Amino acid sequence: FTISCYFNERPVVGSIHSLFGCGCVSQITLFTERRNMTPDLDTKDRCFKALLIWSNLVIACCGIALMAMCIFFISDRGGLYVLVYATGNDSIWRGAWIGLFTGFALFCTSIFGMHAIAVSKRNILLAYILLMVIIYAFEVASAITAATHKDWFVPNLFLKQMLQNYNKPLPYNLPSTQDQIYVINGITETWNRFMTESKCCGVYGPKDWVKYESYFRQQNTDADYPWPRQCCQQDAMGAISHLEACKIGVSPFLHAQGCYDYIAGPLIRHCFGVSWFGFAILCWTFFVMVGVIFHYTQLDF
Amino acid sequence: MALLFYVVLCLSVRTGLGQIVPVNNTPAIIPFSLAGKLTSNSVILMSPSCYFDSLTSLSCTSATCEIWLVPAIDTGVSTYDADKTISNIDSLSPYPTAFSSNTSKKYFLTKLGLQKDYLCPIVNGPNYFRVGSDGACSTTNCNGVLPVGSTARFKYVLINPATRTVVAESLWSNNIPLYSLKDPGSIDDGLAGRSAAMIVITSILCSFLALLLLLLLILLIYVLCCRKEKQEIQVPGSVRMYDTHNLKGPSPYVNPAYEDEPQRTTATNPIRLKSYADYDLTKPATEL
Repeated sequence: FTISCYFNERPVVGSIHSLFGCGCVSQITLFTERRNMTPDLDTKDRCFKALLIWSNLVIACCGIALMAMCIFFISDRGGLYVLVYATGNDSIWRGAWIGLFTGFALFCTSIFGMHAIAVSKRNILLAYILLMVIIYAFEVASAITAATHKDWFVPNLFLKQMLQNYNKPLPYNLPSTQDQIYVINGITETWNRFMTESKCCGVYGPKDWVKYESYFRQQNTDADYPWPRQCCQQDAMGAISHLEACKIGVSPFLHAQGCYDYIAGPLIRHCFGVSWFGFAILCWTFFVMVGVIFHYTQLDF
Repeated sequence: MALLFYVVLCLSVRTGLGQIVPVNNTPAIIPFSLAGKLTSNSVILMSPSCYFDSLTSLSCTSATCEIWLVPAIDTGVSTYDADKTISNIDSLSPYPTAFSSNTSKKYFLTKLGLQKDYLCPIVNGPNYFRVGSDGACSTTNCNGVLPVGSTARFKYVLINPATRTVVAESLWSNNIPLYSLKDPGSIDDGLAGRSAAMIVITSILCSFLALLLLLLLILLIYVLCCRKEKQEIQVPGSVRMYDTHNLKGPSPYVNPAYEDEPQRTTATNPIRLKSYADYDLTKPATEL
C-alpha cells in the first residue's frame, strides 16, 4: 500500500521506513492502534470459549448423575413395580429408562462438545449442536412423563387394586392369563410383605378390610379374620404376639396405621427426581446451547 | 278334669307373668377406639358385669342363673318383647331361621355364661363380648353373625335354666348400625387434578425446546445462505479482492520504485530520499 506524504510542499513517495522522517505520524499511529486492538478480541473470544467448555463439563457431570439416579429408581428396591403396574400408571418407569440413556448421552456428547468448542471447526460444532438438540428433545419427554404421571398417585388408586386383587382366586394357567396371574400374585405378596415389614395395615388403616367388599372379605369371617394376619404384630420368629387382641384391634398388637406413606413415598421421590432434576439440567443446557449457537455464528467462514 | 288342669296351667302361667325384673342398664359398644369393635356383621359389646348383682329374691342364684344376649333387628325388638314371657324362650327362635325370611322372628338368644362369672368389679376375664364370633353357624343358640349392614339392638337377660324363663332383663340398647360393605368398584380413583409442578415443568420445557429448534433452524438457514454470499466475494480480478491490513500473513511491502536497488538498507547505508519532478518516475531523480 502507499502512504502519501509531503515534504517541502512536494509529495514524497517512499516505504514505511522512509516515512519516519516525513512526519506522517498520524497514519502510522493509526496502524499501531489497529495492531493493539486485536489481542482484546482474542481475550474475549477465549473467555467465551472457556465458559462454554466449562458449561459442557457441568452438563457432563449432571448427565452422569442423572444416569445414576435413574438406575437407582429403576432397580426398585421396595418392590413397588407390580402395585403400580396393576394401576396402569407405570409410565414413570419409562421416564426413568429414557432418563438413563439420555444422561449417558449427555455425558458423551458434552465431552465431545468440549473438544468441538476448543477446536472451533464449523462442521464438528454443527454436529455437536444437532446431537445436543436431539438429546434435549428426549430428555424433555422424560421429564414431562415423570411430572405428569406423578399426579395419578392417590391413596384410592392403591386401595382399589388391593381390594380387587388381594387373595383373588387365580385363573387357569394359560398364556392369555399370565398377566392376571402375575398381577394377583404380585399384589398379594407385595401387600403381605409391606404389612409385615413396614408394620402397617391397608391403605388408610385396618378398617379398609372391614368396610369394603373384597375377595379377602368373602373368604373369611369378620370375627375371625377382620383383617389379614399380616396386620398383627409378630415377634422375631414370625409368630403372632397376641391373636385375640389383634382381632379386636388393641393397639400394639395390631398395626393401626395405613401403608400409603410407605408406598407413595418412594414413588413420589422417583417422580420428583426424574422430573425436577431433568428440568434443571435442561434449563442449564438451553442457555449453553444458545451460547454455542452464537459462538458458531461468530466463527470465520 | 280337663278344666281343672287348664285352670292350674293358667294360674302357673299367671304366676310367671310380671316376674321379669328390669334393671336400669343399657348395653353399649365398648367405648375404646378399637378398630374391630364394629364390622359388617359383628359387634363388640361391653360385658354385663354389675348388671344383675343388685337383684335379690330371684328364683335362681348367681351360681345357677345364666346371662344370655338377645340381638334383635327391626321388628325383632317388638317380637321379642311379645315372646319374652313364654317359657323355653331360648328355643323359640333358633339362629338358623332367625333372619332367613321376611316373616321370621328377627331375634335370637345366645348364652354368655353363668352370672357368677360376671360379678363386679371385673377382676380377671374378658370385659367385652363379641357378637358374631361363631360365624355362620347352624345350632340353635350359637353366637352367629348378624345380617350384613343391618341395624341391631341388644339386650342382656338373666335366664333360670331350670324353667328356661327370663327372670331379669336390661334395657334395649340404642340402634347400632353395622357397616354395609361397599363395592370397591365404586371407589373413585380418578385424577385428583394437575399439580402446579407438572404445569410449570411442561410449559417451560416445551417452550425451551421450541426456542431451541427455532434457533437451530435459523442457524441452518444462516449457514446455507450466508455461505454462498461470502464465496461470491472471492472472485479474482475484483477491486475488492485484496485485503488490507493482512495481519495473519504479513509480508514486507516492496516499493517498486526501489526494486532496482540491490542493497538492503542499513544504518551505515540508509536510503537517500530522491525527488522526482512532476511525479515523473521515468526522468532521473535528484537526491535530497
